[in-house]
Amino acid sequence: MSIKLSRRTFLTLSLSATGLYIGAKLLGTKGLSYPLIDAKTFHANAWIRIDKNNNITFIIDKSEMGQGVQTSLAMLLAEELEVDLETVRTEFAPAAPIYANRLFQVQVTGGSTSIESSYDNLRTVAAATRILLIQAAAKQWHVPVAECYAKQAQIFHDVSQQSLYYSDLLSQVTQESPEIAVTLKPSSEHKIIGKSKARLDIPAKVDGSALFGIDIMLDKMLTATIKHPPVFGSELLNFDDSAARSIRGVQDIFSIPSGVVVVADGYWQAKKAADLLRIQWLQGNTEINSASIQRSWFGHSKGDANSVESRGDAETILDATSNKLTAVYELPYQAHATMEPMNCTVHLQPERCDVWVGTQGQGPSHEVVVALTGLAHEQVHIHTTYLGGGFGRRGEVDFVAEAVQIAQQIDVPVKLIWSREEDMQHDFYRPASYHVISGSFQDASLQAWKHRIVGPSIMQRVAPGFVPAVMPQWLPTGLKSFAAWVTGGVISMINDPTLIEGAKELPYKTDNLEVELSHYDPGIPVGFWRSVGHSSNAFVVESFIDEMAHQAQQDPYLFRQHLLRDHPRHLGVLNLAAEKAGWGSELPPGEGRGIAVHHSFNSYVAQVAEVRVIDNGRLSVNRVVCAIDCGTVINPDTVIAQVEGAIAFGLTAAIKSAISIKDGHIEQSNFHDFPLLRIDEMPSVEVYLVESKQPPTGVGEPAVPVIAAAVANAIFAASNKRIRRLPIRTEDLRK
Amino acid sequence: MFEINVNGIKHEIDIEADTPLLWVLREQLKLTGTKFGCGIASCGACSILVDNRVTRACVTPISSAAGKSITTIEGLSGSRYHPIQQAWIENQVPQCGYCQSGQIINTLALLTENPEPSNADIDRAMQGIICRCGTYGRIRKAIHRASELMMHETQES
Repeated sequence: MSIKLSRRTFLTLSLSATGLYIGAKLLGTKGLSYPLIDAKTFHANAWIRIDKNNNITFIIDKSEMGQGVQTSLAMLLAEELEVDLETVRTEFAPAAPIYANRLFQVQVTGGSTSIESSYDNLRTVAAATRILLIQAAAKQWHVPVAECYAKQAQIFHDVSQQSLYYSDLLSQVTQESPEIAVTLKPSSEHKIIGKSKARLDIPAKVDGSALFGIDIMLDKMLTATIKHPPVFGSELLNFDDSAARSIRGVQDIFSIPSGVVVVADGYWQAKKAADLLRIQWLQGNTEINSASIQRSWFGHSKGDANSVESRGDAETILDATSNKLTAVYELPYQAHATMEPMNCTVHLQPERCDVWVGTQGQGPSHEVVVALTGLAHEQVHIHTTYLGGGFGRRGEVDFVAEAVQIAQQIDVPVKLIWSREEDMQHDFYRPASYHVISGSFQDASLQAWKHRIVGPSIMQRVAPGFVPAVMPQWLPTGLKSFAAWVTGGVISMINDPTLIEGAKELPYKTDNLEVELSHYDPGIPVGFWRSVGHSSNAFVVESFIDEMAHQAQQDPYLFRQHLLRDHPRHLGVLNLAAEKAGWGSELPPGEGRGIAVHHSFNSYVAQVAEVRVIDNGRLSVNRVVCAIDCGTVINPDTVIAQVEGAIAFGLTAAIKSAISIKDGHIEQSNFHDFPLLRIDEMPSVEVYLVESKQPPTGVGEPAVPVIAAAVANAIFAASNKRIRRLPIRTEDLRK
Repeated sequence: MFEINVNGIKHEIDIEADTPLLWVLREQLKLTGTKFGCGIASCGACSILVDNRVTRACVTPISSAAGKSITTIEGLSGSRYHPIQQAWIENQVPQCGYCQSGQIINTLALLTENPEPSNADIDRAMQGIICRCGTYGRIRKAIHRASELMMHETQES
């Protein structure tokens, strides 16, 4: 999805004590209109600040969670403002409507949209600023504008050998007409965009000084921790805190709607006391188990379902054919398991509330604090720290709401820290899902394809209008537009796009396609997990197409190539990955090579995995070769790093971890039973970027969905074992 | 009252004997570079050196560290010019960065004991420190680079 921007921009400028604030009202943005700058309501209204000493600060309106966005957004601004990236300072934006993600219309970092949603906007703002500074200089020197140019935060006029710092021109700029036409540099003139730049956040991340939410320390601050009911949907009956109160340093113990809270001088005291609480819950549904969920899946795979994509007559063809292939695939719930457990610090005062939080959702956070405190938006200040991992978990605001509810009961600032156990057991999990898939290949063509998906809906929880009765009353209004973005404008109870993405738009050429969805929600909270529905559907589609290739006795790479002949960008990455991996070359006995390709977040990724399977069921993933086409690349090394990380993330879910349910609660509690990939399990990864002049598209997520299928297909090549459930288990590999 | 020496500075801490060093460092001494990840010595984010041995601060009570010398990420260099930090920057290792203090402290211990580790040595020594962002490939490269830089330093001095 892209929004076309007019190159004409209104700029509003105001000179304050600290310098020039520049904001933009972009026109022609299809119903989007930015509020004009109002210094009374926002502390920093835009993306660029120039102080009187020519220090330049960029306001970064996306959250830095390791994806390098602090640097890549700064690169976009620096390119058009004509300043050296190394000299700029950055700050994270407060919560304000102007910083809304242009695709969601709410201030959220997610969906691999940061660059896509900022690329034109930030460059336009910076270019307009540069032009205004040039105009101001030309006017002061009485020379033609065309003879002046900007370089390294100065304006030059070579003929008269004059130059001025941007800061020298601040007062003049405010007197200029606010309407200007902006032309962006062609990519051939880019000096920063497209070059690997050292990330601005890394120095602080090698000496311990990078500030994460959990690192916030305020005067007189207390620390809280919380015990949630283990079984989802439980209610608090009562609790006995007599033992807990005997712990030195405990200041208070009370309940909030989501659990029982201990407030203490420090985390250790709070945690120790919390473990001594004797809490009685009115238990929610204790009948839910992974096995019962599986039985229900099976039922739903036979019953009625909604057709989400239908052309031709897949059903009839599959019924009639003699060489139909059918398989069942299963994927488990997955936890985000960010290394930094959920936390949030709140200082609530009568007329003001400050919130320090590593969040992907400043907009939703802002709304939840306003709703809970009754303060006005202008009185609520969201301070975004670095995020110790996000992966979708930190777009939720449950822990922000809790921190505010705790702050409402005590008189000093408070930091809420969840234990790892609470973090693991009270996540919004990647939905588990069950897939029945059939296809037939004959006469060199894919005759028919039918895919039924059974799983719980994320959007039913997130989107107001889905099931209003279960929506918390403080649900951020902004999420409505976010939901509309996800669902393509039609919020539907029936077809949650997050369940069908990556399956619905099958790229393999066929005239007969049927994709069906059956919602089944056992009541385990589900949410956005890095690459969302693609993480499951790509595994299924890319494994099954491999099954069909083998059934047709064709090479899985050439089979895909043939069926993707109308999809040049799929083919581009497929061919590149195959070539770089040396597809077809010999491997030692016991080793195999698998390939997979997938389109998600508007980008294209292909991977070739090389694995070794030992007879006793031991698996090692030795090498992964990945090609990505994400359009224009801003910071190549960051793209490579994101792909490396995405492969590790996807591989963890493929071979290591799963969330299972027993008697209504999550069985896993920490890294001993929810193991994450370790360094000795990390394959060597090679990443190749497809050169492209297309607009930039997603990077953080698109490499996640591909790896499980590439590995599973490699396992088949190595051992003839077809993997149809994740994570891959030793018993599924044993001879 | 417990006396500990942290990054060369002596501190007297009045706290319950079972309080893990992690929380003393973070909350009493405001040295927040050492991170809380799991609380059960399973992720390595809280790695510190106690008398030059890698220790998981989240399960080490202060009582067991009394009188000992502790090195945290903040004590590594006082600047960012320690060879390990340089190698980390050169290879653009961190993503979210949360685990990296633990990675760097473990690297320091590894290279002190084994100045020229193989990939297998690295895997063995670093296996206990989880990076959810998956920076492992870059960690391997950076450790080899830090090894080079440190040996170069030793030769020069």
